[in-house]
Amino acid sequence: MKLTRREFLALSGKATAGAVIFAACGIPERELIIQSPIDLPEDLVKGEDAWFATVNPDGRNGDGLIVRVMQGRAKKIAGNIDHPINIGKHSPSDDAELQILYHPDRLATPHFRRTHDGQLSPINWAQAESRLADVLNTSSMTVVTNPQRGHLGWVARRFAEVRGGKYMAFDPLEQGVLHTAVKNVFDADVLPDLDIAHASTVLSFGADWMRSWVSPTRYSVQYGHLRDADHRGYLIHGESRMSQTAASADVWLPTKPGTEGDVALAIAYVIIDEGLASASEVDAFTSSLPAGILNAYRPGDVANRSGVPLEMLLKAAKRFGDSRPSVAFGGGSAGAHVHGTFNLSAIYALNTLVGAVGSEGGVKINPASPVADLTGSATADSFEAWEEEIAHWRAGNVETVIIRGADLVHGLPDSVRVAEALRQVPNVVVFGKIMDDTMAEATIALPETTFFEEWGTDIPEPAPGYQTVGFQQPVISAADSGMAVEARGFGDELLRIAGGEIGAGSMRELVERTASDLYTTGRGSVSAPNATLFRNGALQRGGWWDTGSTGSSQSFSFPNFIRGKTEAEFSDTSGLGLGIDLTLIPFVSSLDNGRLAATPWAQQLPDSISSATWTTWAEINKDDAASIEVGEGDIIFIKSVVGEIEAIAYPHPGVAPGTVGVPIGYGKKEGGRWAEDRGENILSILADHKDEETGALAWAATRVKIQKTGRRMKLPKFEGTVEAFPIEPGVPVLVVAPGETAHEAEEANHHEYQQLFKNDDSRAEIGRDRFGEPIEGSDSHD
Amino acid sequence: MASLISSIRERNKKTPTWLKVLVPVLAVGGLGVVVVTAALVAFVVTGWLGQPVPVLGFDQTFDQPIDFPHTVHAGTGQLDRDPSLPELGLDCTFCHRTVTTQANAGVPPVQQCAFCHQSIGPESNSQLQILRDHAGIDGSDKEPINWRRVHRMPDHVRFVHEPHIRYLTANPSAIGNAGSEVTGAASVEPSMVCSTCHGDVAAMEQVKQVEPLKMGQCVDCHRDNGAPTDCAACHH
Amino acid sequence: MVTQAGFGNHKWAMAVDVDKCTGCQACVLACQVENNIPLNTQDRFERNRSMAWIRVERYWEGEFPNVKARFIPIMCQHCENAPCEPVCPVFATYHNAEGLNVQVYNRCVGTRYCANGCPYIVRFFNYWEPVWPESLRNHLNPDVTIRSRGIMEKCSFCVHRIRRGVRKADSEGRALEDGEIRTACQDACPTDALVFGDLKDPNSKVSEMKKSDRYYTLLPALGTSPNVFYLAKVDEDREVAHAGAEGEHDDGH
Repeated sequence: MKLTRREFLALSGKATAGAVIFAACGIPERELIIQSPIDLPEDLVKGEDAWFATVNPDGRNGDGLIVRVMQGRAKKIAGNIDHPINIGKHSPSDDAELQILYHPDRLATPHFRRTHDGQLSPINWAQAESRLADVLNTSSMTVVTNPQRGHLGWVARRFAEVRGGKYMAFDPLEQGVLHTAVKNVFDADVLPDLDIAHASTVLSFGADWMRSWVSPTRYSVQYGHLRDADHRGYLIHGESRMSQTAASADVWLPTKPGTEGDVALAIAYVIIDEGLASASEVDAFTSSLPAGILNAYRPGDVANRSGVPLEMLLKAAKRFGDSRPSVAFGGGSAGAHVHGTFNLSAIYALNTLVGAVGSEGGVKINPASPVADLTGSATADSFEAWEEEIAHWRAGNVETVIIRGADLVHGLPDSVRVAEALRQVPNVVVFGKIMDDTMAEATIALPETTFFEEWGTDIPEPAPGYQTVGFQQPVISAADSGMAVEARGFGDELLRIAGGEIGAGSMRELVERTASDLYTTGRGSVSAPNATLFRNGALQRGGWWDTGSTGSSQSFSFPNFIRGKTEAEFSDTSGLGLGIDLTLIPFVSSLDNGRLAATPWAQQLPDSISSATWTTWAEINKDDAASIEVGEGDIIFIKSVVGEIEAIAYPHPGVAPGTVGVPIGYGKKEGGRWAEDRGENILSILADHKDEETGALAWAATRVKIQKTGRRMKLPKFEGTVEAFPIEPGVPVLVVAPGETAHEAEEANHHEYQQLFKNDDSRAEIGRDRFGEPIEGSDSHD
Repeated sequence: MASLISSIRERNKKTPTWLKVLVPVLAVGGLGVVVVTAALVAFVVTGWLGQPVPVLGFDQTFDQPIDFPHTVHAGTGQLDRDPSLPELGLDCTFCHRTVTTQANAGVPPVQQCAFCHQSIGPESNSQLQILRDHAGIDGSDKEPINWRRVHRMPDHVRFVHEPHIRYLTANPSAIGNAGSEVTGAASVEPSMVCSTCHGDVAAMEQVKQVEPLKMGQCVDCHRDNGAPTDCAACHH
Repeated sequence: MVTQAGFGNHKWAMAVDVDKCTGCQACVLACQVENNIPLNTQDRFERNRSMAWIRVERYWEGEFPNVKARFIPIMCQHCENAPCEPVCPVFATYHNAEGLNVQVYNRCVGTRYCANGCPYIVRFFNYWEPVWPESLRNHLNPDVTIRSRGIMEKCSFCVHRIRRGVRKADSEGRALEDGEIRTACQDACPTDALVFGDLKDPNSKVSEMKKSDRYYTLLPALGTSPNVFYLAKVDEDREVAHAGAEGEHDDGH
């Protein structure tokens, strides 16, 4: 009998219940059983603590990962210390991947229905194979994945090519505008790396680059170095929303939505005006701009337009121009406007003005991909292209659609009515791990393996300034994963169906081919006497990189980007009833773009700013909220021209007036027990405004009406779970000025605190508690 | 009810009725108290103080899915069924491979048993047949064997074999359940130290727990050998 | 304290550079994964009973547009003079020779006195039996005990990683190196705001950080002498109250 002490005490408390006690002391049968596995997995022989290196092609910018495997089970993910992108660190979204692997609602077998009206019912793989052979034997086919830089994307693209079909990539918050701006300014096909670590002043716009954007783990690591005590750099961040990055910045420029480009040019104006840049730098910057154009961006005017206080703007400009090395970059909401390309081009152009291109602490142009098959860059097709494609689907022009890793139904605004269009496509083949809104429209739903069980490659974008290839290898066996799931890899399955047409038999073969190609270059991080040992070496390290193969910082002259639209344009809110007009800023929180919605870990991870979890909330300015009598916990309507959703209001002092921030990824109708019908989908109500140049969805250009529903609900958030510490200045976050010691700061704070007590009324001015409420009344001080 | 009371009242008219009711009630109640107390005492003894007492069905050994004889594999005497043949005398670490490096000693995979037993052993042996079925030798589906754990630490104890084996091989005087030829040596092989906690497994037809493996025993040994007695050394 | 087999040769401590914390929550989830902390369901958040051995607190300072958010990670401070220890009637929490405030789950009877005594509010009580759907149990860490209902739990400084690191160094017959033992939160922290190490090693990174001008501890007036210490946030815009004397504003460069 194995009773814990606790159970024993609990039972003796119930001892009056008499003889039934003994019935409760059975031995838990399961715990006494040890399974002896059939085969001899490597990790059993080598020991229990095997860590295998791999990469996740769906994850954050190809971060190198290591997975702890014990007795065939994946236990923990950590960063690969050797990998140049993330240098041993990982992001919370990597951790959550484990719960996709072991999700109790994993799709277990293929499912099929004859027509869209039928029920999906399970079939076996042999049946699925014959169905697939039927439906893929057509040239009227579209293959859809999420943006894939590695061989998975290559296979999907090639499959579509050899069958005469079409390949498209989908990402709800696409980076097309960013790529175009980078092409405009640096004439580069791949994104450049940003040497934040060695910069003295960092100026960023729009992109919440510590949380999401192109390479959050890498740039967070770099931010850590930016804050190194011996050469502490300065971060200026312009964004319409108080994001995690804005919160970490030394100065937050609260730009009104769409004015980021204006602010960038105003900064350029100040730098030139004050003579902070050399003549050659000024020439390089102004040569391709129409003469005198900068006069339209005088700081005073821009301060009015953008809502950034003039003093703040001037200070930022001087710091950026003066304290070098400086680097400027932007993305995210700054590019998600009708003039997004202008905005981002203006921001990146600033780098020429401070000589940051190709220099330490600046922008590092990345080299081309070392792998012949791959460009090392991937971006989703534009919203415009998607509207066109979906019109074809709706018209019945496409016979078969294959979708993998892209939840179109959840990710596209309701205005394109994608679910309806999918019903006009006779064969919808969807690969996935867990049911999602798009798979719910499938005629053939196929269970897919996770990245833990697959072979593949990934080329990070941005690369770390030199050529880098990440290798993905199976770290656990799909057959013995502990899950009763008959899943297959998307890449392997396409290769099997194509039967050699593509030019490869399996993903493994592609990995081996890539490794041997890299071996023949004779350079890089792995040196080995033959190709096989080279491959093993690369797999053990999780990849290959060659620090010598940097990109060339060629001389370039960017084309005049001040053309087309240079002013923001927002969707209309007239006719949406009562309430206040705010600009909607969707943002990425714990769920990524919704990919992790199925995992409880991602769902319950507090948001950085609001600490909210599990459901959709809306960050709204306190005064805006007060004007419609909304407080925290009030459920509000958010209405746009396309539709409306409900969200729980979370007013806080960091929200810029006139904006409302809502996290994306919530509101899936399907997605397993933890995602289904949880929160609401903000992407569904985005207006169909597009960036003029690229056709990308201008997802920050939707204006909404906010109304009170009259209902309330407690916002599930971590904040308030524990009581606030007694708040006086410097507790618990002590702030010092440069050169000031902690002790001096504590003394000064204490002095200030006591001064405040002399006049009791002023105590309300001391600060705010963790709820953002001013501390007042209830003087419990002793 | 009324007839019952009246019949009691009929019988011994001198004794008051309330007494006639009270005595049997007290007797039954007293008996009940004795039963409950005895049950509690048994409970305390079995569940809390000592090695589980087998009377209540808590056994220190189990029937395994296969009657695996440690005697044949690890013993060094003569085989029972054919005394002209020696027992195999395999080293413990031949099968329990991770014992010197890891927390778990490791139960060998089916494949390892099958290395030998796909050819060794008669087909008439029903126990070997079970193994061959699990290993898929006869073309059947491969399947793990669900051995039942005999030596089990409570969930809140993190026992790691590696340092124990490392210490005992270097300090044989601390080895228990072993003869002086072992404890007197300067250093011994890993398989010589197992007996300290597991007894002479090589002599067991069916493995059973011989040591109580309670915390008192752990702490005594730790104290005697200068190992940490900090709670967090094992409980975390 | 008796030193046994090298036990007690270390004094574990953690330095938190508040200036580097971005509030990204990587530590929070890494800790949850490593230490088998139960899933925080929506219901738990609504009842204010969610658990986090390490949490990132966010404080607002100032008014829009000069508003600032300040982040600070808070975990068990492993106080040398811990208020939680003397109040435990069953000695389930105590201070060990290596500077850890240890919680012994199998001793704990759930009085919750310790949580009431803790000024940092880092102790969490299991109001419910932790539940993982069967397949999710595959990812549980076998090195860490799963706490049942009625037990208090808190940051353990990843004591299982400490034990493993010490064991590994022992078996290889060498001394522990600085940085060899890393806690799960430190592993995840992208900015290296969290640094774990041995204060008895004068050359370790934590020992070095302890000498920083920005060194401070939380609620020092309570005299708890924590083994977790913080380096203050730097803000160039802060007005130095007694600036007159040094009068020098270092702009960093």
